[in-house]
Amino acid sequence: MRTITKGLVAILLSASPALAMDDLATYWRVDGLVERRASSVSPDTAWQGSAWIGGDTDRIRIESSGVLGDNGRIDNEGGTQGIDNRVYYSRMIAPFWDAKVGLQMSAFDRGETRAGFLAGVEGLAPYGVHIDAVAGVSNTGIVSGRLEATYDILFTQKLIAQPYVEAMVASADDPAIRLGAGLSRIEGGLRLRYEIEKEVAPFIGAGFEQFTGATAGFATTDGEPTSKLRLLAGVKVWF
Amino acid sequence: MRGFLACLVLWAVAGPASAGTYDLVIDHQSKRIDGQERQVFTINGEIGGPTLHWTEGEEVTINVINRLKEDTSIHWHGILLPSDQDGVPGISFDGIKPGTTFTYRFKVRQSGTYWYHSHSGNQEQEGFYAPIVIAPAGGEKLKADRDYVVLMSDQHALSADTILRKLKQDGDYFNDHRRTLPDLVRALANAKSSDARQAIVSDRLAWAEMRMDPTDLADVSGYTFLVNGRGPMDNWTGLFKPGEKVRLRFINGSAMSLFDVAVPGLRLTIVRADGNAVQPVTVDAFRIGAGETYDVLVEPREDRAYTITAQSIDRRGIARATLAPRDGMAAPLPQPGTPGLLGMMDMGMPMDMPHMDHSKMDHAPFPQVPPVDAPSGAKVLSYADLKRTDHAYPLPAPGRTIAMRLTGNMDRYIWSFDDKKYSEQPSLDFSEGETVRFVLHNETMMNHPIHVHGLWMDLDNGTGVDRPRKHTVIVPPGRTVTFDITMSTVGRWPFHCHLLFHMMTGMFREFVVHPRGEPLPVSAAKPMAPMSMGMDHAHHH
Repeated sequence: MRTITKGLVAILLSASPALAMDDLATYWRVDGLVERRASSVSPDTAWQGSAWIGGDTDRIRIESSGVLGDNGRIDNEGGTQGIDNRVYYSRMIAPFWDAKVGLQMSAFDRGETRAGFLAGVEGLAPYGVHIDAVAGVSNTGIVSGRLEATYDILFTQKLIAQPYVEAMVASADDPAIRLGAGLSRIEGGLRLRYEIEKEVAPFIGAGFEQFTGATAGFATTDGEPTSKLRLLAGVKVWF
Repeated sequence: MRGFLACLVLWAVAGPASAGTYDLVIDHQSKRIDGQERQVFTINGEIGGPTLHWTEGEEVTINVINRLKEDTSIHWHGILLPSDQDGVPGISFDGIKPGTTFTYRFKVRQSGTYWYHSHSGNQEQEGFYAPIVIAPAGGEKLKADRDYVVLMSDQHALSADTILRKLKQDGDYFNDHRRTLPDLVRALANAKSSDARQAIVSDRLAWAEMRMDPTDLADVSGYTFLVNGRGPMDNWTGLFKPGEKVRLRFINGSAMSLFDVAVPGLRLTIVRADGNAVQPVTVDAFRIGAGETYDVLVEPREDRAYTITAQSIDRRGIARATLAPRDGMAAPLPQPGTPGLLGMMDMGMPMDMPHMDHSKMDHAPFPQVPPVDAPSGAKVLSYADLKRTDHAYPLPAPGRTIAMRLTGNMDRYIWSFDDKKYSEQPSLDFSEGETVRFVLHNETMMNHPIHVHGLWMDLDNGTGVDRPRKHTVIVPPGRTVTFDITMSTVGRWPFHCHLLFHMMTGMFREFVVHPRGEPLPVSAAKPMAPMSMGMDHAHHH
């Protein structure tokens, strides 16, 4: 009996909340980027927003991104983007890496919508490359994968160039949103930002987008260009 | 009768026990530091004070009156006392509720320079710290004409909550010395040979591969460094007459800073470390970690001002005070020196091995990391220079060894022992009287001043029987430090990094010293997670 009591005391002691700030505290971060984009076709406005809340290990993330043309139309980006809203549960699986699973709700041009499940990883790869790699399956049954990578090059502590690449693959055509099977789109570019504060950084940049394979075919059919060179200007904030 | 006589003799030797009562009122108010209003926690209206003057053997009674809207506490840093007087909420006691008074009572069993501070929330890093000076029962052996406390601290414009939130959002947030592309181009252009260029590139790649930056010497920048609660412009001044001997009691009461201390023009004779007397050693500079104390004798002979400089190890700032024959005098304030870069050695790797391999980590016998900008020929204190003077206490051979890795995740801003935060590890259990060897290996790129409450660390600094006794020991990046702790007092004792954000985010363990003869809990023999420990018990009974 005494041993049992002692055992219980030991359990209570080890579970005591004394100074356990390290696992009671909740933190959060909100990131946003808004940019104007100019190309050979109508100019548009793009945004990328993300936020997380949680502890060191487990977090809830929400992400929203999209492109809205000055003509009022959603830019489908070859069916790969639309107005894309995601919610994830994420868990730290290694010092620089989170695994995440979640749901995606996307709105495309002409009132098309897609919903799906997502799973992926996000983190900092060796040499400091930030990676966001996600695979998903939508309500049309199409499986897709998306990779985004960025890298910071410091010219000074405040003037920072950030090259980026994005690529997407899909398992089958989804003609309603003009998404083609295989490698559908790649984009690369660079944003040069000046951090007025760590949290506030206006930037200028350029990006080159290329539709490939069946996606390029859809664009051609629609009379749209299969590649675009864009100039970018915007602001990146976080808090 | 013989017992009575023995008691009488003991009483005569120890002298009549003195007793003192001290009242400390804890409040939160605005104080002017370097001309700027700062909201700080105060003790009797002071920041960095009041100094408590005790005498060895004294029975002290301290009434702590909490005028805050939140709980408070006082921890007596480096003081040997019963565990329930140690002042750590949740471990030693329940804390001091708003509007209440808590009375500490204990007998002072030591002498030297110590300090006290809150162990609640962010109070310590927002002003709640002050010195303790304990006179030896028989008076100071090494006399001085003047006696000053030099309590160094760091004060930030941002609240501690905000600092920690920023660090959790971006571990690099406060590093404004990151290496840039132009730095690389300049270094390559200045390189003398292709080998040198190759070395520069390899070094860059090695750091990039680890996703780290060798300029990351301190996690937080933007501090104003204070001496006795005054900023560099306020310039705290201690007076002397030329030719006098001055005792300076240095205390590092900062939240996140290590300092390199010097008094240009004067040599520094170290006579005590962490309160305990050491064989006097004369140096030009010494490094002091958060939580450490050093007593230093200086003899200014000239009729002029001398600047006491304590540069933060990242050289972002300087704590400054002045020794002068008259008030209002000042010596030039040296510009902060050049910050060092961490080398691959600091990551535990020799230069020719850029790939991280913990099995091949350097286990140098004793770390000696002088400041990079110390003038050549200057003698910088090393732990190896510290030798005890009191050989009356034994150094028992350790019965067992506990190896600990100091670990961290800068990206997430998590600090830990053995990759586990405080909340993820059970306490470490010991038997009263046992001596345990601790081998700490620092796998991170930060210096960690590791502090134990209520017990002494006998530091293995290569001096054998002369090894010094400390309560806080710096474990430099990539290095291994060994010390023995004799579990002299029953109770629950925190063991943690004294960089407060490291402590708060997980680099903290609880020691439980069980009464002699009592069997240790199962967890001591076989470390397990709390849940599995519970199941184990259920299974056996």
